[in-house]
Amino acid sequence: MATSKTVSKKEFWKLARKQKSLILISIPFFIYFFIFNYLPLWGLTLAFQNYKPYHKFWEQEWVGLLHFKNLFTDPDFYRVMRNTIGMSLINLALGFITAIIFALLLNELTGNLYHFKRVVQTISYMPHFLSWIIVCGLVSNILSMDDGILNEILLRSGLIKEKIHFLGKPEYFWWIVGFTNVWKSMGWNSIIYLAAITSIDPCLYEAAAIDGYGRFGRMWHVTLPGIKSTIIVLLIMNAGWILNAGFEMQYILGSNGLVLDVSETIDIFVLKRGFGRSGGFSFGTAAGMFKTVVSTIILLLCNKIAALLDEERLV
Amino acid sequence: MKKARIISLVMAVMMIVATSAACSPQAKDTTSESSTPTPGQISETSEGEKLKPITFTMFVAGPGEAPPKDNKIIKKIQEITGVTIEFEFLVGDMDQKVGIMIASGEYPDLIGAGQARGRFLNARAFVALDDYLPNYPNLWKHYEPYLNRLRSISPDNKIYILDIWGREYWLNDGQDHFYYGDYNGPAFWIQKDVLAWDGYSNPTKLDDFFDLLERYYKEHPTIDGQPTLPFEVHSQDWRSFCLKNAPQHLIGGRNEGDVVVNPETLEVEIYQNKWYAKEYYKKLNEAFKKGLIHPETFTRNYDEYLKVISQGRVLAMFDQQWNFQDGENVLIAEKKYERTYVPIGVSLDGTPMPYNRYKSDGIIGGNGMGISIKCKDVERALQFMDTLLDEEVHRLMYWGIEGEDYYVDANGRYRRTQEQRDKFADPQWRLANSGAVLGDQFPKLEGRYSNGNACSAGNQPEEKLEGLSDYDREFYSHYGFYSKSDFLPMGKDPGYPEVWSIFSTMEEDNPVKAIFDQITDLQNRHLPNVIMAEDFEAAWEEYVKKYEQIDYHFLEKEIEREIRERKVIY
Repeated sequence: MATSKTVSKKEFWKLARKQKSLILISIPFFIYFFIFNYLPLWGLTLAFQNYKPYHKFWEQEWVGLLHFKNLFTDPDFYRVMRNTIGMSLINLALGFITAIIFALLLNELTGNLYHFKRVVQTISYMPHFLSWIIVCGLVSNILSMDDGILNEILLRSGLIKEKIHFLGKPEYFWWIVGFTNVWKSMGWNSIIYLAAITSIDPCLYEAAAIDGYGRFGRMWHVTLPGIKSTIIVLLIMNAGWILNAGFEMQYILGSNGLVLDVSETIDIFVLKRGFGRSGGFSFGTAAGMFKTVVSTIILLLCNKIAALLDEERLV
Repeated sequence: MKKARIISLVMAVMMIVATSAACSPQAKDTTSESSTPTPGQISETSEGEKLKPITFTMFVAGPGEAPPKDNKIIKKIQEITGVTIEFEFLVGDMDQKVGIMIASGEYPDLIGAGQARGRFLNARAFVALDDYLPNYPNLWKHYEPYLNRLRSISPDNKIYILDIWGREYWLNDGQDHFYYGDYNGPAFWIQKDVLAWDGYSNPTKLDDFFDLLERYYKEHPTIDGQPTLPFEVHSQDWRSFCLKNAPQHLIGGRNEGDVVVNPETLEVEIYQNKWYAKEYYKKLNEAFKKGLIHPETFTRNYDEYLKVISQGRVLAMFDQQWNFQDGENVLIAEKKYERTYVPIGVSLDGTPMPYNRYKSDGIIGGNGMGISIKCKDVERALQFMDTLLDEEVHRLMYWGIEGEDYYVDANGRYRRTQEQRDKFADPQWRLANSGAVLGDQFPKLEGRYSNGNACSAGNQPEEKLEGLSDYDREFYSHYGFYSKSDFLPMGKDPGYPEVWSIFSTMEEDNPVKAIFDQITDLQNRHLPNVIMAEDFEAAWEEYVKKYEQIDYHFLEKEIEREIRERKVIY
């Protein structure tokens, strides 16, 4: 934007005319962002009122930070924060590592195996398109004690003596969510790494080969450094989502009393308190607002760290 | 910067997807003028516009299935009234769906408020009907004796909700009791085959009940090749009443919800931490340890619960019949009558308890529907309901077309042939061909028509008797019973609405609501663990200790006060 200060009004319009097709293309997105991302910000005022839906805006009762105070003194709030961050970290770690390794391995399938690579890639990103309700159905079938395949396999191979009630044990819940996420998104997430890998100069591989590096050596010294900046950009973006541990899966599979303590995420908390409880609109808004603010702070922080490390940045 | 470009490309694609998804067409304009009408105005417009087609949207805060557009009866009613109803039934959690509706202010024309009525009332979602009702003769006749009760549930003493059940018409000819509806409320429901196997017993003592399940389970570890599930405890979302509500009945209470009311003194007590609740959960804990309760019962969602019931392998459960009806219907369709259920009035000491079986004294100001403030045409909507209360039209809905769905015998009695009965027993056929799917959501006649026939085929005594399967007839004959309802003794109407119904209409910011939320949360979280605990005493101890941290005495006092207030009106 540094140049815009120096151009005169006339030049500005000249430039605008020149780029009018670009401006035209971007208009729908401006409208979209305005309607869906900026207009709703107005709703944040709910967090500072005792909102009653049938009152006009000026008739609402303003209560200041009361709902935030209630939020921070609510013992449930700390429980859902723990769950959110716990599941998020598992998702982040598992999701990240598996997608990168998967991309590296796929990339090694060359020559005759090229078609095989295509097939594997297609199959692996298919689960991405399944809705969570279907995925949860599959998961609960697989883990069922009744006729679930996992219990059958473990039982027949002699690894366990008694069937395990996977979905009823709090200690398993986070991992079930983590591994389901891996299954659902690994293929899809690896696409971006595969794309980044294609832009690595093949000469580097040849040079590495001449220097005596084997397959793993080339992966470690050429491919990984080649996609490092992509990895970091994605890491920063994902860090901003750390309070989004998911919603559907925890809601569908975790709504029973046995695992409720470990399954509720902040999104479910906001929904339950905001819409499920009588008169909770304002409280729910406050909790949602808290989440957004923290997410933004984390995102900016990560960006800063990346800058300090002299790596590619997002903003 | 190539990578950055790739990222921005991916993001652009994501945005396009998001935009196209977000730009779904907006709901059509629903502005309305709801000025108070003068009587003269009404008759003019309603005559002129009577047949002008109009479509009302309707949300029902309960599960159900919308009838197909070409349902023959609904088509006929559309010809008579010009009104089409577009149903939306509840899917998922009621409180959240209703909350979102209230927050957005996007109401349909009509709302079947059900248990969510308090939230709609508090959000001022309904049009007050006090000035309208006298203009509609059928509606007026229907509600006139109960106006106070209708008013009692609203915060400003106006009529917002019209009860759809409970207004019964009797002829007082000594025959009325043959026309009572079958019991479908809370009870310990048990498969007929289990009772038959035990020599047609009626185990009303809690210990005997579980003892019977255990003995039957030992001899029948599988049913139709699948493992038997002796006792199911469903506990998903709001349906956790299956987990929580049994103790109040074990000592003879009515279905009040979370409290027990002393009928003499009107004293109210929370019961989930009392000795009789402990007895019950201790029994469940024992049953769990014996393998009578499968651990997965707590993780099954509602669909899975219905599935295992429809497989015929659940021997018993505490539930309300309408809640598991869909599963049982599959058993009926497959003619597995021995796997269908009857209610048992189980108690701690063995005295048979009435559970929720009592003859109610008319409308309670409870389960009803309202006209939303966004309704296109309040008068047309009321006109429509008024027409549905016409005996002719009502018969069309609940009996069908004469000669096609029923016939009239020489004595003027409405009857069905076996073929017609079989058709009506099929839920899919019923959805496409019966008007009851429409009528059930609106004010309706119950009891008997002026010509003595039952208001719905299911309650016609001859139909009830002849409609029984051979298995059922034989089964009931061993007990000398007329229907499954007879398993429960008849209770007495205590003269105030059920507490859960009082509760659901309390003001939003009443502190009682927050206390109630805490209690519900605690129970949903802890009771399954109490049932599955290795050491029951310790788990119970911990649960009760958490309970004591909640100020439930305040809730008890508030409810008691409300009951005393209502008692005056009733």
